[in-house]
Amino acid sequence: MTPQPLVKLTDISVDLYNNSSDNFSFKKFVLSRQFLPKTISILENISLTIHKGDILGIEGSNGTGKTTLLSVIAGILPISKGERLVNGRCLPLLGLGHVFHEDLDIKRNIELWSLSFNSNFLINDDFIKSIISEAGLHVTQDVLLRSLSSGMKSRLAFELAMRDSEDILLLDEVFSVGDAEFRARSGDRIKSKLKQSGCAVIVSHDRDILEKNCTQILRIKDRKTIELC
Amino acid sequence: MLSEFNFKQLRKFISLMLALQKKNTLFGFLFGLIPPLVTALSIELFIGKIIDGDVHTNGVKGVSVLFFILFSSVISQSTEGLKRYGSIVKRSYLSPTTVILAETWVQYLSFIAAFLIIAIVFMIPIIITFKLIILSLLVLFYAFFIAYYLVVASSILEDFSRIIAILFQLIFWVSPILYGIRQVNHHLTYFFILSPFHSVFEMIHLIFTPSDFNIGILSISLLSSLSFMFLLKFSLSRLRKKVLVFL
Repeated sequence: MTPQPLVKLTDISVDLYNNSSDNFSFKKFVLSRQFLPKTISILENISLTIHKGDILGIEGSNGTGKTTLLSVIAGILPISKGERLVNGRCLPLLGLGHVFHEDLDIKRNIELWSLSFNSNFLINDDFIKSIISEAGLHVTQDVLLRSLSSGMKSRLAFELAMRDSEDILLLDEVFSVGDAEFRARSGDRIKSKLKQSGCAVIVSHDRDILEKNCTQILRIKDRKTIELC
Repeated sequence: MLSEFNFKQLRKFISLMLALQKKNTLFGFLFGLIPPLVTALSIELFIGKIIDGDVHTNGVKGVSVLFFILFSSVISQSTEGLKRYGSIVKRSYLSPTTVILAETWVQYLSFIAAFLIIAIVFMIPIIITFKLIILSLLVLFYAFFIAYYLVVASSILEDFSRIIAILFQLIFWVSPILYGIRQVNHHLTYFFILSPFHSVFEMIHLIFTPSDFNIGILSISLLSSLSFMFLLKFSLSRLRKKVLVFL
């Protein structure tokens, strides 16, 4: 008997509304009688199966739907057609630091992260101090996020991601953030985390990263075609 | 319609919003009460007297203003809130409903504090105060329901905040806040009663003056509000399920 896949997408299609469309205002709606902006098909009849232990790399040109595919696997974005089956908890890292709020302090931002990803962190002073220390921030927990540099925010987000436990890890270009030292250190930690996760999907433009970390690499050629590299 | 969020997330998010908006201090919270209180007291004490020509004030206009502010702030802050937290919502499991509900409750906390101050200042009897609190919960649900569906429009239309500001200005003047519906020319009465927001102010008036109860006015007002809710649900529920693709 074949084991049940952790992720199974069957003939899924995703349509998004074109943000660059000019038909967003009420004035336009009255003049053109077009209430909704134009739709673009991002993915069409795409199927994908990921089993336990798979580390899937995805590459493709900008705008081909790599991030959209991760959002669909995570269950964040609704699909317009097809079937999505996911067995396990996803941690979608669609960038680092994207769930932070500049006007909240570090402690509150850790809480915001936790609630945004439904993480089961036991947030207390010791936990926060250890996060700050491991991220190498040298600040107190009541410091507002806006006073941190973008590199520091990435390190904080990275540390939180590494502490989380998930069955399906979804990484979108998280290897390419921070300075060289951070990238070297984070690369090693991601590798060990990938081994712990049930399965993972890594999106990157860097072929070298995909080859070093993934068990198979797929290329999104266009909205209808995913091919094995 | 509440299936997409969990209570634990809501509770934590409300706490974060209080920290963000009220700076987590009593002073920050009280400071936020000044604008609605000033508006309510101004209308009750000055405009109310000018229109009614009556020195005696019972707080009905001030309370109506606070209900209007609750109603408008829940809708405007919830719809804007989803835009504010849009980048988090579309990249994580923070649900749009959590954001809308959290904004709704934060606005309600401010309302209830301001309302109790007005109730004390104008010595509104306890039984009337209690009835008004019950009514405020109904208004809260009504405003949340409208905001829940209107977030679609606010996500699509970039000028939504300007439109909603104009609409609320209109609603303020056609709602019997400054005047009573029974003071309006009887030929125009139905124009006011058919407003989906009139029912709120009619019920406030009836709580203060039960002797004015008119089954016709109240039932048409309530029917208008229910029709408006049905219309919103009917026209926007399909799009509401896809709100994330508009953010």
